[in-house]
Amino acid sequence: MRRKLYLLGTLTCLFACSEEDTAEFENVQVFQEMWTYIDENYIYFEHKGINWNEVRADYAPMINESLSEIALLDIMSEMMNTLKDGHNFINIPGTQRSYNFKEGFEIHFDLSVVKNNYLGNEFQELGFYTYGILNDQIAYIHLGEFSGVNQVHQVMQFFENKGINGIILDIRNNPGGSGQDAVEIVGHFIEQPTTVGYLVEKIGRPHDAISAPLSIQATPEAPYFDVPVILLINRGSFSAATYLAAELKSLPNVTLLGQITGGGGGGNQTQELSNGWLVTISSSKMLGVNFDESIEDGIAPDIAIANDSLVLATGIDEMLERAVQEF
Amino acid sequence: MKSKLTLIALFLCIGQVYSQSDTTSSRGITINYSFNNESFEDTRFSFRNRVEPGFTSSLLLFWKKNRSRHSFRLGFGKNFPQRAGELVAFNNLRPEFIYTYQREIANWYVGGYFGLGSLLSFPTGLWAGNNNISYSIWGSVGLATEFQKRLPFNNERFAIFSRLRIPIVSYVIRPSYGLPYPEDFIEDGVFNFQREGMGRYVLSSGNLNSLNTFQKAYFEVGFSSYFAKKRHEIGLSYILDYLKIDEVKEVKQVKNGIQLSTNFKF
Repeated sequence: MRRKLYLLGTLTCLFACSEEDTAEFENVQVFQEMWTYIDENYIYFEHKGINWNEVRADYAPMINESLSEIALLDIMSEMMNTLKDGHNFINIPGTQRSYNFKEGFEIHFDLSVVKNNYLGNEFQELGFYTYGILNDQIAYIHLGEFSGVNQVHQVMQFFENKGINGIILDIRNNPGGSGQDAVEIVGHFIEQPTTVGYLVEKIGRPHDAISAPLSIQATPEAPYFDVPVILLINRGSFSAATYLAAELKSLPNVTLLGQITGGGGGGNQTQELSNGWLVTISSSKMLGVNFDESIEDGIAPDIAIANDSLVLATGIDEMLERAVQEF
Repeated sequence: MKSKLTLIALFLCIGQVYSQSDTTSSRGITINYSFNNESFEDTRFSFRNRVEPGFTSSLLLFWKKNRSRHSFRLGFGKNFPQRAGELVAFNNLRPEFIYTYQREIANWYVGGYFGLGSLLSFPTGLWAGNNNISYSIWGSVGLATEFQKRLPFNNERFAIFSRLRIPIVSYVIRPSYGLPYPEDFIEDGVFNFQREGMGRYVLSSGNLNSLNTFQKAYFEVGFSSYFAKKRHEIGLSYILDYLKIDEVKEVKQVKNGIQLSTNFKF
């Protein structure tokens, strides 16, 4: 009997000797984890012409075990920012580091100016959307963020049978959200199912291990608007807002007016490092109708114009006024 | 690890007693509940190994005739994610179904099992990515043994027991890369953003695995006491539930727990 019990105890130990969670993390290990994770999962190396091995050669010598947490974060953030991707970020408790895609751009927009000085009190709000009618004949819709397909259609239905002869879609400072919302909006400006772009995913460790393009189809939505459309954009129009700019740009009756958008053509994927930090990077990407990757860099306007901060402070939105003149 | 598992399986299956047993028939139901200490690491999400509490509950139906025993076990396990001071935590769910057929040989039941199970992990917290689920699904055929002996005192009201299950061959579904789509599904004309029809692509995306890539072992040792004229039984045991899938993105879950069992024959 005693022998059997000893035996059972031995078997138990064979299994039970599992790895324990360790409380100490080595800077070199954390750095290597992030470098490797990006190397295997980031999707824009080829488009951006970045030699990731050379980047490691530049930054690895800076890493040693005496670095403080913040010093390590500074170096790793700087390395990540060589990718110039607003969808990449590092989270540590209380802090997020990301690439500032707005740097170098003058971005001036104030929705309250539009509400007070152009729409008067005749505007509606639904979720992140603000809308009303300008000059009795132009539909104005500010899309603050994309977060609900049903709301998109409700807003568009508001303008049905209102006798409008033009639409201004304003996605200035829209940080993105659901890419499907953008596709649904396009549906109100087409009569036939239309390919508006493609999506590809990273599917393996090599930099060129990318899936075949998946077509993104917009289907016609009611009500259909056969009127000129101005899309107001600025550098703050990021991610799904840039998708919308790319998708609408391919339609003949749409004009983009403003600044180049913020880009952000990637889709995120997150990984936790062994010290508990989170690294998020682009592991999928949206391509334009011609398979181009310009969505990542930003969509350029057909008519370039930017607000002046001093003029905006007086209550004049020059970009919006220029858009109205186009009708 | 593979050699250890093989040795244990051989030890428990070979060289045992050959005496005759009673020709009885019985049916019963067993309810198990265990509190576990769980170690978890999924490289699709994290480079960290987490150790957290968790539980497993299961319901087992069995019937025995002469020296043959059949049982169906339906189990469900979940961890209790530790969120304090963490940016992210992972909810791990593990449903499992196992059918076992065994033959009684003296104090041993020896046979095989067929099991279906999955490990589903969901990140919560500051997770910002599209990879918001990691799943592993398996179907296994393997060995199942049990040792049971009534102790020769107090009118044999007490018994000791031990159980072991090890798969031999398994069909394992686990996406090989970061996103949860099978590669066949992300093809033009197949993929859609509503993920409609993805189920059959998931089910057909698995691979046959042997012990070198799919390692799973359930081991239990404990004692029990009979009551109500020895028709019913209550037991307390230590369990070890080991799972490691060594695909491109490895996942490992090790549960150590104390299990309470109640067994009713009818």
